[in-house]
Amino acid sequence: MRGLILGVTLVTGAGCALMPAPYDRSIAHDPSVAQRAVGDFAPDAPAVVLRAEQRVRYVGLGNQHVIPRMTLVDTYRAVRIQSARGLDYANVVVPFGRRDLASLSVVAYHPDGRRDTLGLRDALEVERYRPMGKDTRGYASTIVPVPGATIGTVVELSYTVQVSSWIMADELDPREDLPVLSAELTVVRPERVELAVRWSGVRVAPSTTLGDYRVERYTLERWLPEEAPAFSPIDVAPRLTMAWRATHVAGKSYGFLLGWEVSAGVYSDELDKAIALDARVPALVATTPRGRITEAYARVQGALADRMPLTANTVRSAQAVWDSGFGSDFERAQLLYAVLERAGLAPRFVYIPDEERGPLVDRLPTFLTPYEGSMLVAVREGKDGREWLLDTSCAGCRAGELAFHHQRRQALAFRPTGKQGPIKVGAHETADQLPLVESRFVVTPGDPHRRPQAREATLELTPRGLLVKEARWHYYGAYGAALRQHAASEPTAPLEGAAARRFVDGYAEGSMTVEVTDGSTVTLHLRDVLLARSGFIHAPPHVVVPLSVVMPFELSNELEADEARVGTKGRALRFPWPLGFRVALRFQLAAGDRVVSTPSARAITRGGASYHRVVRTVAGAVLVEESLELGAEDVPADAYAELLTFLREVEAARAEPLVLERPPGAPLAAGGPSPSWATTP
Amino acid sequence: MIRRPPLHVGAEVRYSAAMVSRSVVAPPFLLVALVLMGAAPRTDTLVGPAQPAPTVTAQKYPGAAVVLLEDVGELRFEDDRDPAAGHTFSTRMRLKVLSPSGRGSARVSVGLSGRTSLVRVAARSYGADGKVTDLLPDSIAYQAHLDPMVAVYSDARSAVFDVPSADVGDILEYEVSTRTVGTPEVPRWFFQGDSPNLESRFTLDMADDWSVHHGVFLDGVLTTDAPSCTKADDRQRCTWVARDQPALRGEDRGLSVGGRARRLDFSVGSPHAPSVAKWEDVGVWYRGLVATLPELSLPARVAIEAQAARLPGETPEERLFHWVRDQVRYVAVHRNIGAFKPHAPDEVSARSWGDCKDMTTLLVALLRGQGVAAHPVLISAGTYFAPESPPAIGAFDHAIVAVEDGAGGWRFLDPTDKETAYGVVGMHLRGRRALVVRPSDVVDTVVPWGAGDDRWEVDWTVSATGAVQLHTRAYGGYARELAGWAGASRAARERYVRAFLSEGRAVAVRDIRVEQVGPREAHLRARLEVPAVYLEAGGLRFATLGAFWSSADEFRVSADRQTPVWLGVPRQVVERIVLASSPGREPTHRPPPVSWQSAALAVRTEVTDSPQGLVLTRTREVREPRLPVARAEELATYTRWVHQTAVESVVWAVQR
Repeated sequence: MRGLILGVTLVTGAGCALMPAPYDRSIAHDPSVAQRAVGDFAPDAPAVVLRAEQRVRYVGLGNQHVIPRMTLVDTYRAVRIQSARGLDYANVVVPFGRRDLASLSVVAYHPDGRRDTLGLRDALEVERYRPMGKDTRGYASTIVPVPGATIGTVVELSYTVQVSSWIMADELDPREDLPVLSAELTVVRPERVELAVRWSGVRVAPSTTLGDYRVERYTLERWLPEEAPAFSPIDVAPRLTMAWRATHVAGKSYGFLLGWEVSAGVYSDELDKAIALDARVPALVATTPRGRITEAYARVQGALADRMPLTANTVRSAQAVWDSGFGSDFERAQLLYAVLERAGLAPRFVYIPDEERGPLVDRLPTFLTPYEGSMLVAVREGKDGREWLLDTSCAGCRAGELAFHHQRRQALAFRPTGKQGPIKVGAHETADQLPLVESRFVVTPGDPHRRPQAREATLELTPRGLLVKEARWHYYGAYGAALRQHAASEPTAPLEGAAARRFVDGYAEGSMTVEVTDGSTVTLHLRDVLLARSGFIHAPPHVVVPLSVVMPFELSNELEADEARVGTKGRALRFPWPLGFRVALRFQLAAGDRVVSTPSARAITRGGASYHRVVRTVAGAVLVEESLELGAEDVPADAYAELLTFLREVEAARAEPLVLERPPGAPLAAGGPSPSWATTP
Repeated sequence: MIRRPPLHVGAEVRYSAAMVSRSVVAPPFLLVALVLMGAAPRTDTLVGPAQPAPTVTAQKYPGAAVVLLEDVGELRFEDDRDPAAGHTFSTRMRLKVLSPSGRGSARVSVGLSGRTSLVRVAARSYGADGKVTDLLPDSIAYQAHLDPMVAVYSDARSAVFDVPSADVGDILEYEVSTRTVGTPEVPRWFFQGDSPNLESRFTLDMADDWSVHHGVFLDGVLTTDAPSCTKADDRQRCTWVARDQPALRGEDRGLSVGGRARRLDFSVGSPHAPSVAKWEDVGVWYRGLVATLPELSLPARVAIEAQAARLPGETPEERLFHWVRDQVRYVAVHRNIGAFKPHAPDEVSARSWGDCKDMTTLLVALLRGQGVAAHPVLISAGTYFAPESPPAIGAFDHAIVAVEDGAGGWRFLDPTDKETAYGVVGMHLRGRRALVVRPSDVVDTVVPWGAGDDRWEVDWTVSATGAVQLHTRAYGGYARELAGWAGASRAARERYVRAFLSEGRAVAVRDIRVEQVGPREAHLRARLEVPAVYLEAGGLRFATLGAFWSSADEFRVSADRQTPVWLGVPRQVVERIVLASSPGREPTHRPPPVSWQSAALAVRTEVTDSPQGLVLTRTREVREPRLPVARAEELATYTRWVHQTAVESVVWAVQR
């Protein structure tokens, strides 16, 4: 302990000594000076961060040589309130509980010369706990509503935090929504701990060393949130060696992966009791490896309700998950892993982080909870057999199918090594006694066939809109997983309400049922479904139907909104949509209809994307066949503009209408459901 | 997830410009804390599947994920004199899981607060194979209803647990008891309606000299359901029962399935202590809480009056209103009785933050100091309460100020709403029930609808090339709502502009400007790039009006609905499209004029020529806030005309 205290003192003192402090904090002490300092910077912002300083010191090497024994954070922040909306920023929020705070001081400098000083005694503590067990209380926030705040008030906050863990990046500065006039981050870390810091618009000073510690300094000037919406002004996180650790909590052992901080409770003592699963898991009695794999997956997916555990960050043991009858996708992966291992196979976990956090290998490592990504299981039939990826997060997927958003993704595949069965550790084990995990980066496969969806529909015009007389919309592979899940969960219920509206445009009425027509195809069967939005244009004697009404694109709209983000990140854009589709529409004509104009045949090809349309007029109907293929899921930033152009051209083409002329006085449609809207609420 | 009646915790509405018309607190983060409880003694009264319900099958109840076999509640007061001394609320649910998705019903959430604590939980599942699984002792988690970034700090939370081992065919059973102290507030009883419910009953146990005031609502309408009551040993027990309720399906305008389900509202009156026998009693109870506060001190009053004297305003009252509105920011600390009881005026003025009742208390004290007859008002900003509803403390979630206007009427002031003017209240408060708490009595009244100038004008100017200018003007109460967007982020303003389009696809929004023109008028201008405004085909050019003329507010009402339709604030919306003229080209088709109106609703369209081009004008009006179900035909006709006019088009012959 003496050594630790000495180390803290040494590093704290040295860190301060190495930090030049050109910024004069007294600017904040006179609101009129503060106003001049802000000048014309962000005049419309509700508040401006005059100055943010943070000194983060990671002290000592702890468990695994990657966990600091202690983290010290000194924070100083001065915020000037510029409008009534900015008064919310007079509620100082410190993302730590009061017991973590070594000191807290809030001083409010008001335009009329008043000054209010507050401390810990004035603070409210609000629980924001993410419990990890009985003794680890997670995180709390300390809130100090500053009295007397008004426009022009400068709120100066200083606090020191001392915790025995890493500090998460988003805890360092939760005020990422305000313009920053000036900021500085200093990090003092052990040499052996690699630390990555990214700070949008940051200037980096050359780092210096002090014994076993490295001191790094980053500065930022006149930063606007709009310039880099994807980043917090301070984005810092430790990059750690991949390591395996277990923690003993409340009589149970939980495992944690460090590095990407996947806190998956992969093993626990209870796993040995997995024998209890035998009676209910056909996987264990299947005679072939493939049978064990498919049975295990079907059983785990089918028998468990998809529900998060109540213990926020904890992944329960396989047995606990099985007994409870429900589990998160992480927990189902854990159970599946256990079952497969009991069945004599050698599974691996495959961790896929949330897509919005960017590619795995490019981005900053950061702390993740189990619910900020997906955990899959990979298992090989035999030494040279097929490797199956089992997607526990994909309700309705079959064994080997990946949810669309899990395809072609960077992932981390790993398995604990060193021993069979549970890792038994106590509360005070040392890192060196724990086995490491074997891990490697992988890229998940995509659907090799890339089969598009196909839709066939017979449409008719009614006074209220387009009536889908009969349609079969086929979904292949993982694309149909949601429908397949519905069929499995509610076998006797038609698709309705919000679930139905996911598959048709806007408001619709009618019968939608789901048919699982074969192992890989799911069909949504629509009968007398009314697309009750406008659907057509009425200009007697003409009736006009743009194709876009039938199946709208809103891709370019979304891309437009995404443009700034993509451009800023310089990252590839990834499509959340299927790779393509094929549609066959049959517009049924009423008696006396004359076809004035039909959409023309079109072929638009740009980059790796193509759109084709064929139109035929036959007796009593107009047939339109469309297909769209996007050649890549990941669109590099420099190809983004071309893709946007392609989509706009397609949308323009799809605005081409089918124009009919109807005899005067003829109803818009014959047949179909009666237009009860006219008489019945 | 099954939700037991959430016990009211004085949820408050926090106002900002962006929330004016939505007027509810944003959903809180779910913050979860694991509580390791001691082993639960086997003192439960779970009855088990005395009959394993073999006749309750998926075939008999197609589409049902679960069937509720028995849904029982009992509320018992602890003191025979004072309802506020405490009560215990016990519930027991027994249900059968019929489909995989029905397993979600195994998660149970119980609303708690600083005044309401969890007394006992027991849960058990009975497998189809005879296996019985009990709730593990450490299986209860607490979810805090707190968002530190929203300035409402309360002790509201939920206890959440999962009935273990729920599977298809299993019977799940659980019991929950809570204890509430400190207020005469009681929960509602919901006869759960989102699944078939074979039997739901609720029993009220109280002293035999108390009165009970109740109403059972179905589809939002008061029914004639009455309890059966018995008296014995100086106590009375009243029980309400509903049997064989079918499941309600789908959402209906203004009413969720939960809102349509059968519901018991009740309150009790004791002859010995403050209680809630009538609506006015809620105000009397609140007045009792306020009476315990120290009065505004003279130094504080003098200081505020001195500062307020420098503020704009024609009268001292108006200037004091501005002081409270602008100097006291919204921060709510709702812990224990803090959800109901305001802070002392001196405290609020010294720290210049507080919630609605804090601001109200301070403003009332300041105005009374000027000799003005000002009173606090309890009002419901989030829920519409029918006149026939039984009184309830929890009915009110906001406080404002009423000033007697000398002519028997009121001027309502809302210092919490930072964008409101003196004497004006937000649209979300119009037509709401209000209790004016005077020193001598409590007046049950309704906030007037307004000055009748609540109106939107939405102008679209479309050039010959398809470029579009939007100029929208908001009047009356809407002006404040629109002006609030001036300070919103660009992305938020863009979303707001898109909402004016009935079809927003592939539309680029540029140059958004918002300006407040006067106290009751605000403007928004934007430039839009809207593809396919004009469609050309077959030698014709079509201008699609539907892209601009909203059809989004068409009212859809399910066929089985029995309740009146809530149409909202009476208003007028004028939509105008100016299609640039092309020399020498006259339209071959213009939409025919429409003029239809009823007592509650109206639609008018007309087409005129102007130097700028063809002008198409559509006016929609909502004249009454509620439409009885018997007049649903009006709604259907209105909907038809709104829809019909939105699919009209102007047609020109294309000259090549």
